[in-house]
Amino acid sequence: MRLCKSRNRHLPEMNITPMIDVVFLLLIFFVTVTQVSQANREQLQLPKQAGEKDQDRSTLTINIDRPGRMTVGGVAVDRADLATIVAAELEKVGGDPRQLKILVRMDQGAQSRAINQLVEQFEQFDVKLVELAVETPQ
Amino acid sequence: MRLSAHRTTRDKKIDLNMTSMIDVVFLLLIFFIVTASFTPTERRLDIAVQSANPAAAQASDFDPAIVEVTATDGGFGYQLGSRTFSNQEDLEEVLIAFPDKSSPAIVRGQDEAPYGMVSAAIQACKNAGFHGVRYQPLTSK
Repeated sequence: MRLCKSRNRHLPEMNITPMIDVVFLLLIFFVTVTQVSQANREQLQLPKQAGEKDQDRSTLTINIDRPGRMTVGGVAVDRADLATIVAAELEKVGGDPRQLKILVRMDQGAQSRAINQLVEQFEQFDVKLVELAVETPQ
Repeated sequence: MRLSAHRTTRDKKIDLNMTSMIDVVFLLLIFFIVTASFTPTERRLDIAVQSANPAAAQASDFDPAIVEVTATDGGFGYQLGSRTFSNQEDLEEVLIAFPDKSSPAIVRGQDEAPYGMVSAAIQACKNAGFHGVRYQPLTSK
């Protein structure tokens, strides 16, 4: 590349406007995307297991933290709220419980009482399949 | 912007400024390297769930593999029949040697048992190659 010729004649003027444009655009893009994708994922210590399949889109993600509190989409819920949510999701998929893909993200230190109660509750809705989230060890 | 009219077309060709593009590319490269190492990969375990119903459990003629995560003398352990294991590897070894894998394995978790151990038991059953894994709550008698 011939870069030296013009440098002698003009003062080097660098136009950084496009760069700033692009950087800000990317910044906004990533901030938005990460917020959306993390909206229904709480910071939890998931069990360190190899797992069986890769995760894909689930209809409902239920997070259970170490003391056993449940959150759905960043909102704390109790068992009655969860029943309403599951009923609403069931309505959306046309009343077929097999179409429901429920992902349970549960802290590895939590007591199994929470999942046992969930199972009892799912029984009322005839939900027979549940996905458990695990974290692959690095 | 200065669109200089007096410059010839030959001069314009030389004026390709790559600096800003390289800056952005390097920034992106660093961003992806940093985030990739900090986000752990999540996978999933598919299980069939069934509420603790003794009648349903007794209904099958054959003997399914039932792993119970229960309290033992020193903490919690995996109980398979009359044998108790304290770690996942031992449990998995025995499950691999299990003769009949056509029926689903059943994992039962006590209310007080840590979820980490329940998921470890489920993973062990999956690794052993059982045809499906079923989870049941273990109700205290």
